[in-house]
Amino acid sequence: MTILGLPPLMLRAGLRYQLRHRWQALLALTGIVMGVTVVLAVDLANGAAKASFALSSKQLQGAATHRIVGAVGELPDAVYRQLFTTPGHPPMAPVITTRVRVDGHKGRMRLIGLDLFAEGVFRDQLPGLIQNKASLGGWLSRPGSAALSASAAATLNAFRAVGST
Amino acid sequence: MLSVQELQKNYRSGGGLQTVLDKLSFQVPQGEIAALLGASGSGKTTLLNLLSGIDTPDGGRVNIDDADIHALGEPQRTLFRRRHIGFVFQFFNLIPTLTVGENIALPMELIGTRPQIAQERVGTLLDQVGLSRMADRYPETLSGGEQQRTAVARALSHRPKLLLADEPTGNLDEVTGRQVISLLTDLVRDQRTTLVVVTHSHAVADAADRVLQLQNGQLIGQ
Repeated sequence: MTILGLPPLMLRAGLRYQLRHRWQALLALTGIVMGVTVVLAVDLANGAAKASFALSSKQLQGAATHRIVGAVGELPDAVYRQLFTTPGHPPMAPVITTRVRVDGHKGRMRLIGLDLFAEGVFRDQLPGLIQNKASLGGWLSRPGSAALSASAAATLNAFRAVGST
Repeated sequence: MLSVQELQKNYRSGGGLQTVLDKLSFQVPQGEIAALLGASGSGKTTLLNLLSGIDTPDGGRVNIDDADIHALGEPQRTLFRRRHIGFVFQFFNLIPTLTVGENIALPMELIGTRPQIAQERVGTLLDQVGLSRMADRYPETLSGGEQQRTAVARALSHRPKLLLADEPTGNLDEVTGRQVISLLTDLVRDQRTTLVVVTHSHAVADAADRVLQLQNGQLIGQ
Protein backbone atom coordinates (compact mmCIF):
# COMPACT_ATOMS: atom_id res chain seq x y z
CA MET A 1 0.00 0.00 0.00
CA THR A 2 1.34 3.44 -0.85
CA ILE A 3 0.16 6.99 -0.21
CA LEU A 4 1.23 9.60 -2.78
CA GLY A 5 3.52 6.91 -4.21
CA LEU A 6 5.33 6.45 -0.87
CA PRO A 7 5.09 3.59 1.62
CA PRO A 8 3.28 4.87 4.77
CA LEU A 9 6.40 4.61 6.94
CA MET A 10 8.48 6.69 4.51
CA LEU A 11 5.70 9.27 4.34
CA ARG A 12 5.51 9.31 8.15
CA ALA A 13 9.28 9.75 8.40
CA GLY A 14 9.14 12.70 5.99
CA LEU A 15 6.25 14.40 7.78
CA ARG A 16 7.90 13.98 11.17
CA TYR A 17 11.09 15.48 9.80
CA GLN A 18 9.16 18.54 8.65
CA LEU A 19 7.43 18.83 12.04
CA ARG A 20 10.75 18.57 13.85
CA HIS A 21 12.23 21.29 11.66
CA ARG A 22 9.26 23.65 11.43
CA TRP A 23 11.22 26.81 10.75
CA GLN A 24 13.22 25.10 8.04
CA ALA A 25 10.01 23.77 6.47
CA LEU A 26 8.35 27.18 6.74
CA LEU A 27 11.32 28.94 5.17
CA ALA A 28 11.50 26.36 2.38
CA LEU A 29 7.78 26.76 1.71
CA THR A 30 8.10 30.55 1.78
CA GLY A 31 10.99 30.34 -0.67
CA ILE A 32 8.97 28.19 -3.04
CA VAL A 33 5.93 30.49 -2.79
CA MET A 34 8.07 33.58 -3.38
CA GLY A 35 9.83 31.97 -6.32
CA VAL A 36 6.58 30.97 -7.97
CA THR A 37 5.09 34.41 -7.27
CA VAL A 38 8.04 36.23 -8.82
CA VAL A 39 8.00 34.02 -11.90
CA LEU A 40 4.24 34.49 -12.29
CA ALA A 41 4.52 38.26 -11.75
CA VAL A 42 7.29 38.58 -14.33
CA ASP A 43 5.28 36.46 -16.74
CA LEU A 44 2.15 38.54 -16.22
CA ALA A 45 4.09 41.81 -16.58
CA ASN A 46 5.66 40.51 -19.78
CA GLY A 47 2.28 39.46 -21.11
CA ALA A 48 0.73 42.83 -20.25
CA ALA A 49 3.63 44.74 -21.85
CA LYS A 50 3.40 42.64 -25.01
CA ALA A 51 -0.38 43.08 -25.20
CA SER A 52 -0.01 46.80 -24.63
CA PHE A 53 2.66 47.06 -27.31
CA ALA A 54 0.53 45.07 -29.74
CA LEU A 55 -2.47 47.32 -29.03
CA SER A 56 -0.39 50.48 -29.50
CA SER A 57 1.01 49.14 -32.76
CA LYS A 58 -2.48 48.28 -33.93
CA GLN A 59 -3.74 51.72 -33.08
CA LEU A 60 -0.91 53.33 -34.99
CA GLN A 61 -0.77 51.14 -38.04
CA GLY A 62 -4.02 49.16 -37.85
CA ALA A 63 -4.03 45.62 -39.08
CA ALA A 64 -1.63 46.39 -41.93
CA THR A 65 1.12 43.90 -42.55
CA HIS A 66 3.43 46.19 -44.51
CA ARG A 67 4.44 49.82 -44.38
CA ILE A 68 5.89 52.07 -47.07
CA VAL A 69 7.79 55.01 -45.64
CA GLY A 70 9.86 57.73 -47.21
CA ALA A 71 13.59 57.16 -47.15
CA VAL A 72 14.07 60.77 -46.12
CA GLY A 73 11.16 62.82 -44.78
CA GLU A 74 7.69 62.37 -46.19
CA LEU A 75 6.56 59.98 -48.88
CA PRO A 76 5.50 61.99 -51.97
CA ASP A 77 1.69 61.99 -52.49
CA ALA A 78 2.25 60.84 -56.05
CA VAL A 79 3.53 57.47 -54.89
CA TYR A 80 0.30 56.68 -53.03
CA ARG A 81 -1.78 57.93 -55.93
CA GLN A 82 0.15 55.78 -58.37
CA LEU A 83 -0.14 52.67 -56.21
CA PHE A 84 -3.86 53.23 -55.53
CA THR A 85 -4.68 53.53 -59.19
CA THR A 86 -2.77 50.41 -60.18
CA PRO A 87 -5.28 47.63 -61.10
CA GLY A 88 -5.36 44.75 -58.62
CA HIS A 89 -3.55 46.66 -55.88
CA PRO A 90 -3.81 45.31 -52.34
CA PRO A 91 -5.80 47.24 -49.71
CA MET A 92 -3.88 50.31 -48.67
CA ALA A 93 -4.43 53.53 -46.74
CA PRO A 94 -2.30 56.63 -46.12
CA VAL A 95 -1.30 57.49 -42.56
CA ILE A 96 0.29 60.71 -41.41
CA THR A 97 1.63 60.84 -37.85
CA THR A 98 3.29 63.62 -35.94
CA ARG A 99 3.84 64.71 -32.36
CA VAL A 100 1.83 67.78 -31.21
CA ARG A 101 2.07 70.01 -28.18
CA VAL A 102 -1.17 71.26 -26.61
CA ASP A 103 -1.15 74.76 -25.15
CA GLY A 104 -1.25 74.76 -21.36
CA HIS A 105 -0.26 71.11 -21.08
CA LYS A 106 3.06 69.46 -20.57
CA GLY A 107 4.30 66.76 -22.88
CA ARG A 108 3.26 65.88 -26.36
CA MET A 109 0.57 63.76 -27.97
CA ARG A 110 0.62 61.76 -31.13
CA LEU A 111 -1.65 63.08 -33.88
CA ILE A 112 -2.65 60.63 -36.57
CA GLY A 113 -4.10 61.68 -39.89
CA LEU A 114 -6.18 59.04 -41.66
CA ASP A 115 -8.27 58.56 -44.81
CA LEU A 116 -11.49 57.35 -43.18
CA PHE A 117 -12.78 55.57 -46.26
CA ALA A 118 -9.55 53.74 -47.00
CA GLU A 119 -8.83 52.91 -43.34
CA GLY A 120 -11.98 50.85 -42.82
CA VAL A 121 -10.17 47.73 -43.99
CA PHE A 122 -7.43 48.11 -41.39
CA ARG A 123 -9.08 49.48 -38.24
CA ASP A 124 -11.98 47.68 -36.61
CA GLN A 125 -13.34 50.69 -34.78
CA LEU A 126 -13.71 52.93 -37.82
CA PRO A 127 -16.81 51.41 -39.46
CA GLY A 128 -18.76 52.10 -36.26
CA LEU A 129 -17.44 55.64 -36.17
CA ILE A 130 -18.38 56.26 -39.77
CA GLN A 131 -21.86 54.85 -39.22
CA ASN A 132 -22.39 57.48 -36.55
CA LYS A 133 -23.73 60.15 -38.86
CA ALA A 134 -23.20 63.07 -36.51
CA SER A 135 -19.52 62.24 -36.15
CA LEU A 136 -19.12 61.48 -39.76
CA GLY A 137 -20.73 64.78 -40.71
CA GLY A 138 -18.45 66.66 -38.37
CA TRP A 139 -15.33 64.94 -39.58
CA LEU A 140 -16.11 65.49 -43.21
CA SER A 141 -17.41 69.03 -43.06
CA ARG A 142 -15.16 70.67 -40.50
CA PRO A 143 -11.48 71.07 -41.33
CA GLY A 144 -9.10 70.37 -38.47
CA SER A 145 -11.44 67.86 -36.74
CA ALA A 146 -9.87 65.25 -34.51
CA ALA A 147 -11.04 62.27 -32.47
CA LEU A 148 -9.71 61.90 -28.95
CA SER A 149 -9.73 58.93 -26.67
CA ALA A 150 -11.77 59.46 -23.52
CA SER A 151 -8.61 59.42 -21.40
CA ALA A 152 -6.84 61.97 -23.62
CA ALA A 153 -9.89 64.23 -23.47
CA ALA A 154 -9.99 63.93 -19.70
CA THR A 155 -6.28 64.79 -19.48
CA LEU A 156 -6.67 67.84 -21.66
CA ASN A 157 -9.94 68.82 -20.03
CA ALA A 158 -10.80 70.58 -23.27
CA PHE A 159 -11.02 70.04 -26.92
CA ARG A 160 -8.79 72.80 -28.10
CA ALA A 161 -5.72 71.45 -29.72
CA VAL A 162 -3.63 74.07 -31.38
CA GLY A 163 -0.25 74.20 -32.94
CA SER A 164 1.85 71.39 -34.09
CA THR A 165 5.51 70.65 -34.30
CA MET B 1 24.61 -20.15 -0.91
CA LEU B 2 26.78 -17.22 -1.95
CA SER B 3 29.05 -18.03 -4.85
CA VAL B 4 31.63 -15.61 -6.27
CA GLN B 5 33.49 -16.55 -9.44
CA GLU B 6 36.41 -14.74 -11.07
CA LEU B 7 35.17 -11.38 -9.78
CA GLN B 8 37.12 -8.50 -11.28
CA LYS B 9 36.90 -4.79 -10.59
CA ASN B 10 39.11 -2.04 -11.99
CA TYR B 11 39.10 1.70 -11.48
CA ARG B 12 40.58 4.30 -13.77
CA SER B 13 43.28 6.18 -11.94
CA GLY B 14 45.16 8.94 -13.68
CA GLY B 15 45.93 7.55 -17.13
CA GLY B 16 46.05 3.91 -16.08
CA LEU B 17 43.82 1.15 -14.81
CA GLN B 18 43.99 0.09 -11.17
CA THR B 19 42.83 -3.41 -10.31
CA VAL B 20 40.92 -3.37 -7.02
CA LEU B 21 39.67 -6.97 -7.12
CA ASP B 22 41.63 -9.49 -9.17
CA LYS B 23 39.59 -12.53 -10.24
CA LEU B 24 38.27 -13.32 -6.78
CA SER B 25 36.54 -16.65 -6.24
CA PHE B 26 35.00 -18.06 -3.06
CA GLN B 27 31.83 -19.64 -1.73
CA VAL B 28 29.89 -19.25 1.49
CA PRO B 29 27.30 -22.01 2.08
CA GLN B 30 23.81 -21.06 3.23
CA GLY B 31 23.71 -20.14 6.91
CA GLU B 32 27.48 -19.78 7.31
CA ILE B 33 29.36 -16.74 8.50
CA ALA B 34 32.34 -15.35 6.59
CA ALA B 35 34.56 -12.65 8.03
CA LEU B 36 36.27 -10.42 5.51
CA LEU B 37 39.57 -9.04 6.76
CA GLY B 38 42.00 -6.69 5.12
CA ALA B 39 43.80 -3.40 5.45
CA SER B 40 42.26 -0.13 4.34
CA GLY B 41 42.19 0.07 0.55
CA SER B 42 42.39 -3.70 0.11
CA GLY B 43 38.99 -3.77 -1.63
CA LYS B 44 36.66 -4.88 1.19
CA THR B 45 34.03 -2.21 0.63
CA THR B 46 34.24 -2.65 -3.14
CA LEU B 47 33.62 -6.36 -2.66
CA LEU B 48 30.57 -5.69 -0.44
CA ASN B 49 29.21 -3.27 -3.05
CA LEU B 50 29.62 -5.94 -5.73
CA LEU B 51 28.05 -8.67 -3.56
CA SER B 52 25.01 -6.47 -2.98
CA GLY B 53 24.70 -5.40 -6.62
CA ILE B 54 25.18 -1.73 -5.77
CA ASP B 55 28.29 -1.66 -7.98
CA THR B 56 28.86 -3.63 -11.18
CA PRO B 57 31.96 -5.77 -11.82
CA ASP B 58 34.26 -5.66 -14.85
CA GLY B 59 34.21 -9.45 -14.96
CA GLY B 60 33.05 -12.52 -13.11
CA ARG B 61 29.77 -13.48 -11.41
CA VAL B 62 28.04 -13.20 -8.06
CA ASN B 63 25.38 -15.84 -7.46
CA ILE B 64 23.00 -15.79 -4.53
CA ASP B 65 21.37 -19.21 -4.66
CA ASP B 66 20.45 -19.53 -8.32
CA ALA B 67 20.37 -15.85 -9.16
CA ASP B 68 23.29 -14.22 -10.97
CA ILE B 69 22.63 -10.74 -9.60
CA HIS B 70 24.72 -8.90 -12.18
CA ALA B 71 22.82 -10.57 -15.02
CA LEU B 72 19.66 -8.85 -13.74
CA GLY B 73 18.60 -5.44 -15.02
CA GLU B 74 18.89 -2.49 -12.65
CA PRO B 75 15.20 -2.48 -11.56
CA GLN B 76 15.20 -6.27 -11.01
CA ARG B 77 18.49 -6.02 -9.10
CA THR B 78 17.00 -3.33 -6.85
CA LEU B 79 13.96 -5.51 -6.15
CA PHE B 80 16.22 -8.52 -5.52
CA ARG B 81 18.36 -6.51 -3.10
CA ARG B 82 15.26 -5.22 -1.29
CA ARG B 83 13.85 -8.72 -0.88
CA HIS B 84 16.90 -10.93 -0.36
CA ILE B 85 19.76 -8.83 1.05
CA GLY B 86 20.10 -7.11 4.42
CA PHE B 87 22.66 -4.52 5.49
CA VAL B 88 24.23 -3.55 8.78
CA PHE B 89 26.40 -0.44 8.73
CA GLN B 90 29.13 0.87 10.99
CA PHE B 91 27.17 4.03 11.79
CA PHE B 92 23.79 2.23 12.11
CA ASN B 93 21.99 4.39 9.49
CA LEU B 94 18.67 4.21 11.29
CA ILE B 95 16.01 6.65 10.15
CA PRO B 96 15.90 9.26 12.93
CA THR B 97 12.23 10.16 12.47
CA LEU B 98 10.99 6.57 12.76
CA THR B 99 10.74 4.77 16.08
CA VAL B 100 12.70 1.60 16.80
CA GLY B 101 9.67 -0.53 15.90
CA GLU B 102 9.03 1.40 12.70
CA ASN B 103 12.68 1.16 11.65
CA ILE B 104 12.51 -2.62 12.03
CA ALA B 105 9.21 -2.79 10.12
CA LEU B 106 10.45 -0.70 7.19
CA PRO B 107 12.13 -3.46 5.08
CA MET B 108 8.99 -5.58 5.43
CA GLU B 109 6.78 -2.71 4.36
CA LEU B 110 8.99 -2.14 1.31
CA ILE B 111 8.49 -5.73 0.11
CA GLY B 112 4.76 -5.61 0.79
CA THR B 113 4.46 -7.72 3.94
CA ARG B 114 1.00 -7.44 5.48
CA PRO B 115 1.04 -4.97 8.43
CA GLN B 116 -0.29 -7.52 10.92
CA ILE B 117 2.42 -10.06 10.06
CA ALA B 118 5.04 -7.30 10.12
CA GLN B 119 3.93 -6.22 13.60
CA GLU B 120 4.21 -9.77 14.92
CA ARG B 121 7.69 -10.08 13.39
CA VAL B 122 8.75 -6.73 14.91
CA GLY B 123 7.61 -7.96 18.34
CA THR B 124 9.59 -11.19 17.98
CA LEU B 125 12.75 -9.40 16.85
CA LEU B 126 12.48 -6.79 19.61
CA ASP B 127 12.37 -9.66 22.12
CA GLN B 128 15.36 -11.33 20.48
CA VAL B 129 17.51 -8.17 20.53
CA GLY B 130 16.33 -7.20 24.03
CA LEU B 131 14.61 -3.95 23.06
CA SER B 132 10.97 -4.84 23.74
CA ARG B 133 10.47 -1.82 25.97
CA MET B 134 11.99 0.57 23.48
CA ALA B 135 9.74 -0.04 20.48
CA ASP B 136 8.31 3.47 20.60
CA ARG B 137 11.55 5.31 21.24
CA TYR B 138 13.46 7.24 18.61
CA PRO B 139 17.03 6.17 17.70
CA GLU B 140 18.60 9.35 19.09
CA THR B 141 17.48 8.36 22.59
CA LEU B 142 19.29 5.00 22.41
CA SER B 143 22.90 4.10 23.19
CA GLY B 144 25.24 3.03 20.38
CA GLY B 145 24.82 -0.64 21.26
CA GLU B 146 21.03 -0.35 21.32
CA GLN B 147 21.05 1.43 17.97
CA GLN B 148 23.21 -1.30 16.43
CA ARG B 149 20.91 -3.99 17.86
CA THR B 150 18.00 -2.16 16.25
CA ALA B 151 19.95 -2.09 12.98
CA VAL B 152 20.58 -5.84 13.22
CA ALA B 153 16.88 -6.48 13.83
CA ARG B 154 16.00 -4.25 10.88
CA ALA B 155 18.48 -6.02 8.60
CA LEU B 156 17.00 -9.43 9.44
CA SER B 157 13.32 -8.49 9.64
CA HIS B 158 12.48 -9.48 6.07
CA ARG B 159 14.43 -12.77 6.39
CA PRO B 160 17.09 -12.04 3.75
CA LYS B 161 19.16 -14.80 2.16
CA LEU B 162 22.33 -12.76 2.54
CA LEU B 163 23.30 -10.28 5.25
CA LEU B 164 26.19 -7.90 4.60
CA ALA B 165 27.71 -6.13 7.58
CA ASP B 166 30.32 -3.40 7.14
CA GLU B 167 32.32 -2.96 10.36
CA PRO B 168 29.27 -3.49 12.60
CA THR B 169 31.34 -3.08 15.76
CA GLY B 170 33.57 -0.30 14.46
CA ASN B 171 31.63 2.39 16.31
CA LEU B 172 31.12 0.48 19.57
CA ASP B 173 33.25 -0.18 22.61
CA GLU B 174 34.74 -3.67 22.95
CA VAL B 175 32.17 -5.10 25.36
CA THR B 176 29.19 -3.75 23.43
CA GLY B 177 30.80 -4.85 20.17
CA ARG B 178 31.11 -8.42 21.48
CA GLN B 179 27.45 -8.38 22.54
CA VAL B 180 26.33 -7.15 19.14
CA ILE B 181 28.44 -9.76 17.32
CA SER B 182 27.11 -12.48 19.56
CA LEU B 183 23.56 -11.35 18.88
CA LEU B 184 24.21 -11.06 15.15
CA THR B 185 25.76 -14.51 14.82
CA ASP B 186 23.03 -16.12 16.94
CA LEU B 187 20.29 -14.56 14.81
CA VAL B 188 21.80 -15.44 11.43
CA ARG B 189 22.45 -19.03 12.52
CA ASP B 190 18.88 -19.21 13.82
CA GLN B 191 17.48 -17.91 10.51
CA ARG B 192 20.08 -19.74 8.37
CA THR B 193 21.04 -16.46 6.74
CA THR B 194 24.45 -16.22 5.07
CA LEU B 195 26.51 -13.46 6.67
CA VAL B 196 29.52 -11.68 5.20
CA VAL B 197 30.98 -9.32 7.75
CA VAL B 198 33.77 -6.85 7.08
CA THR B 199 35.82 -6.37 10.20
CA HIS B 200 39.15 -5.47 11.70
CA SER B 201 38.24 -7.30 14.90
CA HIS B 202 39.75 -10.71 15.52
CA ALA B 203 36.92 -11.40 17.95
CA VAL B 204 34.51 -11.17 15.02
CA ALA B 205 36.79 -13.34 12.90
CA ASP B 206 36.85 -15.96 15.66
CA ALA B 207 33.07 -16.18 15.59
CA ALA B 208 33.05 -16.80 11.83
CA ASP B 209 32.96 -20.16 10.03
CA ARG B 210 35.51 -18.96 7.52
CA VAL B 211 37.84 -16.01 7.17
CA LEU B 212 38.54 -14.30 3.86
CA GLN B 213 41.73 -12.29 3.95
CA LEU B 214 42.00 -9.66 1.22
CA GLN B 215 45.32 -8.13 0.17
CA ASN B 216 45.84 -6.01 -2.92
CA GLY B 217 42.61 -7.25 -4.45
CA GLN B 218 43.39 -10.93 -3.96
CA LEU B 219 42.38 -13.50 -1.39
CA ILE B 220 45.46 -14.64 0.45
CA GLY B 221 43.69 -17.05 2.76
CA GLN B 222 40.28 -18.61 3.30
